[in-house]
Amino acid sequence: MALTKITSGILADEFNTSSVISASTVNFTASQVFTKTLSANTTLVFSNASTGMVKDLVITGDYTITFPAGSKVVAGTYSGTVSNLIQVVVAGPADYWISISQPQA
Amino acid sequence: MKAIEINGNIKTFRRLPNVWEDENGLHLNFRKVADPTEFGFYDVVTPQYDKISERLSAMYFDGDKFTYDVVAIDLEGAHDVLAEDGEVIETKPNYDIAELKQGKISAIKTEAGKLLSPTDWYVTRLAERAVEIPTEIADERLDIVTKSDTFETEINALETVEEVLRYTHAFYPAPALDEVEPISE
Repeated sequence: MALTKITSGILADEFNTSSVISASTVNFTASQVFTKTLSANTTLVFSNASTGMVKDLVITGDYTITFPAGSKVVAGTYSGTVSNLIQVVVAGPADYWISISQPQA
Repeated sequence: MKAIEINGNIKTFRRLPNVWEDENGLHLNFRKVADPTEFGFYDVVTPQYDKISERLSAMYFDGDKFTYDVVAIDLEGAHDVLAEDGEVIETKPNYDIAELKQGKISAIKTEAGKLLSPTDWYVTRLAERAVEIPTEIADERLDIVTKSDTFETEINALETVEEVLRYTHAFYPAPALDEVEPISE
């Protein structure tokens, strides 16, 4: 029977898994959600990012975090005292739009 | 205060920005950087200077900080006023001492008027109904007028622009801290 609907069961890992950013590279084809607790100032590197991709980064830690050149914050402010949901939209080659939000008190 | 030089322009910040973008990327939580100088941010050091006779030059970077030179103001100097064709029309003093004096005296008279105004009604009552002004009120009003006249005389006796600019007055000086009675319960 032909497949007429896409279900979550057939999605690749890049759409429905979470992984820890162990070093500093965020591989856009590895997971949908990436987590990291900063223990030092960190520079993130994006790999395999293609236009239209949207990834969620959950990042904690009161350190400076650097995103690749071409990144711009479109909403929110990073807080070092709570977890930050950082959503990255790849709007084009080296064009990353970043929204930052935190849990509401 | 911090400052950074970008393309020849110095940009100042009351403190480090929390988001900073440069050729290396977008830095969030930027105030947590260990060494802002690695990004070109240096302290702004303002030298002590006399605000009446000196001014600060434009800010510049001197290797490990942003700072200013202290430049003496030519208080007694003059400058040429030029016509459109560059011809000198007149030479005017940088500071008009007569104008400065008049400004100070005018301010003193205004202040004296404000101090007198709460008791003006005593004078009106005396004029309209011949009710005597209480002695302490009359003395207070005389004191204000006398002081105002004294200040005006002092100002008119000043000879240099700097003396006029430095001149201060107080009708009722605030007591020094050691003269203030402590509040007792």
